[in-house]
Amino acid sequence: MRLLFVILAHERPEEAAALARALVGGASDARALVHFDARVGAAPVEAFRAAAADEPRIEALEERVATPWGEWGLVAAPLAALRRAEAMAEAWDWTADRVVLLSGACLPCRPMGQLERFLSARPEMEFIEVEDHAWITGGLRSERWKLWFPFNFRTQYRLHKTSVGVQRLLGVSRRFPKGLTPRFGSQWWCLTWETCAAMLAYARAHPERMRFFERVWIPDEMAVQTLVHALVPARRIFGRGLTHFQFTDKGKPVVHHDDHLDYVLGLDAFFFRKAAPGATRLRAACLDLAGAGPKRFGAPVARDGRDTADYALKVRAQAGFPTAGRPFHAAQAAPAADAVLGCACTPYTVVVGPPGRTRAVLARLGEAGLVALGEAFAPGWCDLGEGREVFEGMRPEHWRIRDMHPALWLARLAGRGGGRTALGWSPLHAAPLLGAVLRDPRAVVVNALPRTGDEDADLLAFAEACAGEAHHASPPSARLGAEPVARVRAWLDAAGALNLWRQLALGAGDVGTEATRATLLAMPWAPDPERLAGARRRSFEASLLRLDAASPPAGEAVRGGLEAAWADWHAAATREGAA
Amino acid sequence: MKALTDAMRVPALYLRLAREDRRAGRQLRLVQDRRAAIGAKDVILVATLRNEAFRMEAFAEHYRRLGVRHFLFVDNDSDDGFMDWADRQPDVSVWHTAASYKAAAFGMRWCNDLLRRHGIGRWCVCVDPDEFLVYPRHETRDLAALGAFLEEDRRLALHCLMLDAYSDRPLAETVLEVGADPFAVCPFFDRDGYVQRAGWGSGLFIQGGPRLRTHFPDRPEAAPALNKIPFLRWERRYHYRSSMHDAWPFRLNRAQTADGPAATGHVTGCLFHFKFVASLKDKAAEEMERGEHYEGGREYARYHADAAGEFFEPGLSVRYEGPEQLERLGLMSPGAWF
Repeated sequence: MRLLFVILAHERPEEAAALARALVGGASDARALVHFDARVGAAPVEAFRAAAADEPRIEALEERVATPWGEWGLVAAPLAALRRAEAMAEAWDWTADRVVLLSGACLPCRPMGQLERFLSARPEMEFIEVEDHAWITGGLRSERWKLWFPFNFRTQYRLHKTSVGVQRLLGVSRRFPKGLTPRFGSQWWCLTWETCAAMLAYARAHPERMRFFERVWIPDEMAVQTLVHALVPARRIFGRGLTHFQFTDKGKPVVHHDDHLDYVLGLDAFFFRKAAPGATRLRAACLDLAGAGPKRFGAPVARDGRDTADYALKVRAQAGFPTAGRPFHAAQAAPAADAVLGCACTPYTVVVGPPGRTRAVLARLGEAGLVALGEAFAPGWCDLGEGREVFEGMRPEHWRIRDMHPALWLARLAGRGGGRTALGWSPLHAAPLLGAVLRDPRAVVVNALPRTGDEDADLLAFAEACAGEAHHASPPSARLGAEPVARVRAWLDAAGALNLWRQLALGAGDVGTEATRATLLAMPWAPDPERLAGARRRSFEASLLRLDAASPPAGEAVRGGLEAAWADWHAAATREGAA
Repeated sequence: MKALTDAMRVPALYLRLAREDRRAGRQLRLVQDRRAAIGAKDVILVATLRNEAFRMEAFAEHYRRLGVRHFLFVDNDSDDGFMDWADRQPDVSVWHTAASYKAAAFGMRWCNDLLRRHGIGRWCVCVDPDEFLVYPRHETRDLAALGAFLEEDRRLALHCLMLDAYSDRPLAETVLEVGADPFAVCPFFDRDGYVQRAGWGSGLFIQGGPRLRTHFPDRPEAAPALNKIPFLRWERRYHYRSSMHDAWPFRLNRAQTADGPAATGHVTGCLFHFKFVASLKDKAAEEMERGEHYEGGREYARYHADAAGEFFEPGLSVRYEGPEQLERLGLMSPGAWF
């Protein structure tokens, strides 16, 4: 197997020389022709010749053209290399079987011995993408050849855009050369020498057709592809090259670094582009690999094996799932609540009710194995539970820090408890955040508000239960004055909590999403023992069934704690009733 | 008429900024010139310092490892032998000034002027000498690679969260010896609790860390800012405002842009801040006398009063392990940097 590597280099002559050496040295009988961008001057070529002076099979092309992005030079340069190989066939006494086009930033990721075996097993195959214009994902499509492009896309972007717009208005449409059908594909290919020679012959026979391609948009993704389509029967076209490439969402080639060695070794390709200039270890390992024995890698390169999913998955995994409050994420900045809770992946339990009531339930939940904190969102005090002065670095006197971004504080409390954090929560405290908690599917909400079904009585009972609490907005005295219910209602309304209270106490309206309601537990409570009826017990049990169905990680503990709290309350209420 | 004055305001602002920078720049006197060693695409570092010689060895070593090729220092009248150290470094140029640090917007105008003269079109690091930059995969990818990615990602700058690092011992016992690795002396930082809000000039204002919880729990709004922009490709119109927290034009402060992937984010880094070491005691006494720092050095007054200097808090303090750990904790993000 005789391989001719055509390498398009821009600068960095030492790296180009090392690449050419490794490829030629790794293959059994190979040559390399290296083309340097005419824009870089003579110095890199001299340096390259010096670096490869002892290797007669490597040659820097005399004929040089400028090879800026998207211009004809990127086709003219490989054609010049092919002409050189054709002219030298006799002098070298050597004609290639295959020609591989690479860039100076490409690296091999499999041994050349394996490449030879692979090519020998597919003697007539052309490894090139040949697609119709659907291959182009954005921007100009058939206009790539219908219009004229006198202006440079990068340096004269406005003129370029204007000229495209004007030509569209005028309906400019160049005729495609006779006998050819436009085909597109990646600029990196591996072709048989017969096809290369046929291309050269075609170019000599039809110079005017070749000139057409000099004036299309991005000819390197079109000219050779179109010629191969015309010269080679479809069954001999593999449909993809041997070089792996991947573009970012900004349309730039993905750059590989030293930490990508494992990744590139798993690629379904023989070469990849491109390596970072500073990735010296990656470069060394890959060049070393080119000469390794072919047995080290067995997996064949498949016709449809485009391993782009790995890149897309990794980028999505590393950027698409921010942690709660991640710095420099505008969506996580205060006062965001839902977005922050949505990113905190820990479940937690919230007991909503008057503090006296939630304390009793939390005590039982704590015994059952939860991390029972107190009214962590009380005004002027972050209650972390009886006798707890600090919880994993968070302190009760840090309430002003808490109030800077309450949702972040909640996410931290939840995270530190490892899914077993339980909080008490009066509906009057941090009402906007409690609203978000009710919408949060990861929150197990225990409803411990007085619930008799009579709104006025429940309001009064709630206000009375909140009276005398140290860290709670003091309720209007319910027993005195005119219209006590209206005053309690106004009190809740002023805290922005009336709607929340209604949703929870009366079950009116929707409380969050379906998922939330599955973990919304009824822990009914009424100051009046007469209300302790079988119906209430049944609704309690029904809500426990919902807990089992949702099965949060701490579900068993929550269930046990609530059963115990229920028994406590039942006993107390019965005692009171008897008295 | 109002439209006209509004239209004039921005050019007037930039004229004023440019004038202030140049005026401050005239206070600088080049005392060690090794700028000939700067290559066309080299990453440079600009910093203002005063009596920080004991840190310089580790500082320069850290940034050389990240791929900084030349250091441009403004020496604000050090008398601790800084110049002896600088003299031994082939990649250090030094400008001297005895002018007021405060009047130069806490040294930023000096840096602005040096960046205007040497940084245009180049990726530049601009940090204080007690700040050590880390970013995703910095062990295998240098700053040039990061700059190349940011450019291809159409980002103007790397936004960083400042992590105040501390030890688990009292401040008096946390001694940073000359040349010692500060990561070993102060290995701890707060794992979370960084609060961000909309801030100046379309930026995000971040507060948190040990200084917020120990020094400012009673008035957290006054706690120091932790958002910084220490790595950017300098342009003629750029100006740091004060201490690299924010900059003109406003687009530099924008950590998230509309054309970024909506739910994801851009690459960000962290800036380890090794301020809480024993030498600080002496520095605090000196700086209080000089009153050259922000709000009359009120922060230094606090450090002076806080005799124990205990920042360590079990459950919140974690030991630094490496950049992956910071990614895992969500303190920085690789964004789409594959």
